[in-house]
Amino acid sequence: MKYQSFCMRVLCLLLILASVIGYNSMQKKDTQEQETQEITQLQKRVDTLEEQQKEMLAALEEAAQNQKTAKAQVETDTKDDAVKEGAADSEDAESTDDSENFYKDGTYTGSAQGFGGAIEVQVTLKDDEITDIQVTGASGEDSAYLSQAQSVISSIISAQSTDVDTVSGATFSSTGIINAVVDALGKAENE
Amino acid sequence: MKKRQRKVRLIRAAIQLAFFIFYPALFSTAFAGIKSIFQVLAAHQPITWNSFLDVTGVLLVITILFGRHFCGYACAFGSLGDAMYELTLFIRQKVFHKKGRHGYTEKVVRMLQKVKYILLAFLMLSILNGWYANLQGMSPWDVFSMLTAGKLPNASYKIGIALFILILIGMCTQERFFCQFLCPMGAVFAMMPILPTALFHRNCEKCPSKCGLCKKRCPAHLEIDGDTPFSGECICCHACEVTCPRKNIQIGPVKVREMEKNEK
Repeated sequence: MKYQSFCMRVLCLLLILASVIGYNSMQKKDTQEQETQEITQLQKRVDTLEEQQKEMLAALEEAAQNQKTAKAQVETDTKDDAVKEGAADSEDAESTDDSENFYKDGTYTGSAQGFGGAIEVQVTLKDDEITDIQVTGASGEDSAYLSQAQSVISSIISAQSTDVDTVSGATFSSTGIINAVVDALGKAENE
Repeated sequence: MKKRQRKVRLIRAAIQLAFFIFYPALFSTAFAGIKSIFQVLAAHQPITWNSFLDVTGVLLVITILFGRHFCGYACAFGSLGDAMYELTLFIRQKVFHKKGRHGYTEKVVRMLQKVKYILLAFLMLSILNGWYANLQGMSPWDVFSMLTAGKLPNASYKIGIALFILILIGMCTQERFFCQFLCPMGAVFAMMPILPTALFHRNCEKCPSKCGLCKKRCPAHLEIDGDTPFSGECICCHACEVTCPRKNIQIGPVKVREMEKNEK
């Protein structure tokens, strides 16, 4: 058996690949199950809410009818006003959040030390929101590490913060990108 | 004969130097790919392809098709080992007037070759357990890649620097010390099913009974054709091929080559 060892190794490799594929499909199933569970839960909530809404509408209609029959219009008018005022108050509370801009709108560049040199980024800001981050220069970085580190960009944008975890395996490059974004944000601050 | 040996050695050194300068991080990138798989496993997430695995995949496919030529010719850390060993050889020759290539005995080499599998298993288990983060600053590869990137490792890399220096000393005592005994990526490569056509073969019938020059010259003390199909330790340095005075050793099956000769 000259090729016994080779065949065994091929078998082992195929087994490893098969187990990876199996693991992935299990994970997929799990997430799908979770999703379907969440969907059913949400649907239940929607159903109960709809019921509540219907009840409330029915109650409101009843109340309106009662009011009509009672013909006490003056009192009901004042009640409606109170409700409207309450609604107006809550709207005001929501709109106070973005009344004060901390950052100027526009595109800003920043740079910081990565693994093998400076990393330059371009940060686009609009209404105090980081809308886009581009790495414009990273000559000292290994391409595999850099593209791995780029995933930190999406986490910065989704968290709207530079206080995010670095990418494991590409710590230096991702820290460089984070620090470059911090640098760019510093330039964009309103004085 | 000596001329041919020297020519092959020079070509190999040139290729190694070129890879050392332009791709010093290939080996650690490939290992980062292996690590990323286990990190994803530890986080209970589906395994996805990433840029590290690009490098890992390409190197593994090349290894399966053509043997461990990456280890012998392209790996920067292996080249560093060769440089350290050749330097000690040179010093031994010039200063102490000792001839021959020093190294450990076959038995010790065979035993130490198993250490790298233990190391690989340990590293992967620690990633799965989650205490790999505690090993931060201990990797001699991090220290090496910092040095090749023109950066001095800071104080948090004390243990890494110490291990790196120990490995450098080890490299002087045995050819391919790190690759054979410690390299976790080498352990992965050694487990790959290398195609039989990419292995070194020896035309044993033409060999005199008491030669064994190839086995003596082999950094892994492999018996060509006897061990090579089983061990995975051959790093394709071509030293055996050049050393054989009868040119009995070649990559690929012997029979095919004989038939080619007959046709000519």
